[in-house]
Amino acid sequence: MDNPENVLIIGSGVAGMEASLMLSKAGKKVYLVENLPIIGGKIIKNEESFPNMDCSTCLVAPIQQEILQDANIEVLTLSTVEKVTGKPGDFKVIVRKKARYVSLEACLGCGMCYPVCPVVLKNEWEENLMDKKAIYVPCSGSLPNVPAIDASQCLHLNGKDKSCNKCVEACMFGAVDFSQKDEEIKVNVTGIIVATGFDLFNVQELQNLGYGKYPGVYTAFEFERLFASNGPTEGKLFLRDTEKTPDSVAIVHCVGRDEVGYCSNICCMSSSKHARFIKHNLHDAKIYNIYSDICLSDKSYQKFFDETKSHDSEFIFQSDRKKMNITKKDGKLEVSYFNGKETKESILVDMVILANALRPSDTIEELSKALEIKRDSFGFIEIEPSKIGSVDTSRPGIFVAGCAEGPKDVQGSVIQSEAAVAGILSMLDQ
Amino acid sequence: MSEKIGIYVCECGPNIADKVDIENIMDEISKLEDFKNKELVVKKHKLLCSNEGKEFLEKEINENKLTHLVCAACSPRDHDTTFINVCKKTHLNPYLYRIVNIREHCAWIIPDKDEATKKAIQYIHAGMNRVLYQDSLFEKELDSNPDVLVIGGGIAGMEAALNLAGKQRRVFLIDKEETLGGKAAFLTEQNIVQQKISDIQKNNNIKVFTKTVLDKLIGFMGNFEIVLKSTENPDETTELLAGALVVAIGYELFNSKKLSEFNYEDNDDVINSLELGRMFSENKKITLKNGKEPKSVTLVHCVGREKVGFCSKICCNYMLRISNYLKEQSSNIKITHLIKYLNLPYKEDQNYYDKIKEKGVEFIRYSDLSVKGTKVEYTDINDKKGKLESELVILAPAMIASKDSEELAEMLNIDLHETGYFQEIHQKINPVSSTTDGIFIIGSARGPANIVDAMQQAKAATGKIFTQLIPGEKIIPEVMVSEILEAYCTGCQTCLNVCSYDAIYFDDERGISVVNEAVCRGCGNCVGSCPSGSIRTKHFTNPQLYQEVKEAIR
Amino acid sequence: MEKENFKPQIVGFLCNWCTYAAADQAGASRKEIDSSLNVVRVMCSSRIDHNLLLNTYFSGADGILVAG
Repeated sequence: MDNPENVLIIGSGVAGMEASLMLSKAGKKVYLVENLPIIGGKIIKNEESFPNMDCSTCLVAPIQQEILQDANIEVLTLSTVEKVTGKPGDFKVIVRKKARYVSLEACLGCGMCYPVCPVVLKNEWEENLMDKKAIYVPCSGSLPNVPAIDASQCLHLNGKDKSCNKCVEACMFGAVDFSQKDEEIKVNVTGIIVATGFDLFNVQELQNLGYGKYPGVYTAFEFERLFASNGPTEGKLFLRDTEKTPDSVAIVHCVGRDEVGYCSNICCMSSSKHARFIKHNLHDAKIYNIYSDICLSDKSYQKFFDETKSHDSEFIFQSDRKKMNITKKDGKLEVSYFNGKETKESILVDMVILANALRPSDTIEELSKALEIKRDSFGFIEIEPSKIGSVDTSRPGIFVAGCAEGPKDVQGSVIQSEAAVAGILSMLDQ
Repeated sequence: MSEKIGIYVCECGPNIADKVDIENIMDEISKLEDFKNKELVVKKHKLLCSNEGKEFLEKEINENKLTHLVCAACSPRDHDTTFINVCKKTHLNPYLYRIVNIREHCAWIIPDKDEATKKAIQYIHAGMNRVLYQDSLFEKELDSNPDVLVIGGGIAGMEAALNLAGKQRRVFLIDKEETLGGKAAFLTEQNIVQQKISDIQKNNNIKVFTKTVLDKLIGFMGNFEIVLKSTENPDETTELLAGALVVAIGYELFNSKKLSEFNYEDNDDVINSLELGRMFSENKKITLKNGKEPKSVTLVHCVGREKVGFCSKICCNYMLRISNYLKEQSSNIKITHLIKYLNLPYKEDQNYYDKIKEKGVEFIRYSDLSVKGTKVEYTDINDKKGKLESELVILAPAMIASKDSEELAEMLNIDLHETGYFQEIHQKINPVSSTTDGIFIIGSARGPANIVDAMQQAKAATGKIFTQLIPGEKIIPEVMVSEILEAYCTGCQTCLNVCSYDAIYFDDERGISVVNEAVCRGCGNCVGSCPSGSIRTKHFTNPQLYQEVKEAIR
Repeated sequence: MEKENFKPQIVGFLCNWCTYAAADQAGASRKEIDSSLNVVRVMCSSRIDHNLLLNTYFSGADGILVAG
């Protein structure tokens, strides 16, 4: 096509990737904006995904590769959308692209630069369960497999030690480039899809659950990384800072549900998945799932849940989420809760996994302002109420897909992204 | 023409160069005994995937008039496409090139340099032997028809038809009933349904066939041949051509009378959710059979859930909305919900539930119950028994697959899920595509869906069709496909059963299986299953793989 | 056969989409893998038939790994 129409997609999780590939196949030029140095979204943090316990990387890596190799898709990592003006069919977008300080073209991802970097930092992508350097890739298997430099921490870039050139010296390809600058990129697009995903409820808000106080208490995503073969323990279920495996685990559902005000849709299934994974690796472990309701939003989920319930985990009903308490007792964690009879009971475990609620992503407020689109009372992007069954936002020409609109599973996110593609293409047709 | 093989070893900076002895590799490769009579060009480059490397490779292919190319470099997952694209710029057919992975599978995993060097030579030697056994393959182009057949005129089907129809794309919408609309007809939905029906009537690019079902389908994505038949007169048929199909035949309710515990003896004041919907759309209020407004109502959730083996996802919300309506109708009505698990998967649901609870609606978790007349006896989750006598009992039976699903699945050659609903090709990453290319499944035909789900899925299928069947553009099928050698095929049809893409059909006349190249993806499932060894997958044939095996273990 | 010097020749038929990718990742993580493994990439592990297995043994392989 001589003059392909451009589309801007914000967020490179499953929803953003699916939309990018579809639009590219339809001959559109896609700008895929991602604020992390890597693409793939939250799913790549998962070792296995429900309901088939299939390997997430095997599922997503070919998609990531296809995106990176697609000439119609321009991937803008470390980037955020600052401003959108204009109208459907002719949006003018300003993207702020942070310097990576490593050339995407020259770097081969050989990894020689990290060992020599003297700056040790917590790896947030790994839920702070391991360290990284100031020049880093979030995890092994990152795509693009090119490190980024944290400019605020790098001794050379923050000016604490201008003479530090260790990574530059280690790189045989001249890929490290301290002269890179943040850029402002202007693009014209006909339509926009917002697919920025979610973040997680901060469990430290619930002090009764002991997170941060007791090392045996984990969030669901911390556990995902513990369980990941490319994660901090290479998939070994070691309790924090030890090489001991737990004999008993309590998985607590609906953590933060009352605070956020909705059911997060996926946690019953991911908690069942966690139970399965533990049982599979530690046959003798005793596993409890403490739930208050069970949400199974696909035809195939009940079977998975039933099998988990009969083989892997005991399911305990708690009548009042607010009354749960986690404390230390006899070297173990005591989880006390109110059962169906509304009487207090407790169990002793080595490990607690808190299935925390999904909430709107940290970036959504600013982004919604930049895009001038409305959010709902929870902070998610709102679908235009007069267009029920669509994925249109309040501003024509801008569509939303995936967990940016509300908590949902992979399937639900992909459906919305495919619907958003239909929205964009219908718009272009007219 | 005599063969001239170019072998290019990539140093990958220090990644390969430091870990293996590249000079030694080049030397050994140049003097391989079995390539003594072949012309070889053996060179190294510091980084083949760089722009300079690609230009170098292109020049080498052209200047040396290479007939075959081997790149000893990284994983094909990284740069196979890169080098294929280089070949495409030259005379060399890209299928006469081979990438050999001496980085991930050699330099990076074998610490001993000599051993790694030996291994690299072995792999390159294997690649050289294999590339000689490779054949040129060529892309084909097929015409495609952009029109779409939508089966089912409920909310999902209508939404799909309206989204798909356009100047360059006609839609045929069929429904076995006399009118469009389907089951979505309660409370707010009613207006939407009426609006869609009138939009469809006004749309010149949608042709509606009511009282019509599918009779026959042959072909593949882009080129389906369709026969429709009238439900009234089976001899009255219509023939159509379309490029894609959307299946939106909806659901049915589980028949609660099948369960002995729902022995309500056809009591007129025990009704199910759909009957209630119908009552509401006719009378605009909820009443007892005698026309009076009920003073007490029991709503029973999860009827038949255990029997069908899945949660119907949308009934909790539906029942809450009924409750809300009943409370608005008369505020002092006594309402009790008997629930198993409350499933509130949509973000708005929790607030709605909390509001209804505030209005004094009671919720009891049951483990077991029976309905006799309008009397409901239950056991709660603490094994406490209880009894509810109310004037009206509303049941929410599980939503099950339409009884037409099975026959339709057979006709369309698509799979059913164990729940009886249509099966998506991939539960997560391709959720509205059936197991056959070009056939899409939406709405409650693929699993319980509310109106928003159904409409979004209709749009999702629209997106898929818009990007896969572009008016005026040709379809380019996969090149590395399977082929069946007629002389060896015994016609046992084993391969038909193992093909995940339904790409093989049986030719009755010749008594052999035939691969439809437009549908085949080249996975090779059929190759493994063929007892007579008559199937080969292009570019991954047994002789080609033997070459790799032979050298690898020399 | 001398036990100490015995170095088996293992042919690994790896699926392009999963195990071959996993082997790539093992390489990228610089895991040490014995050089007795000879990787042959296939587009799907279900493509392996008895012919290929037998011929692989006949060619002298001591073991075969089909992973996918």
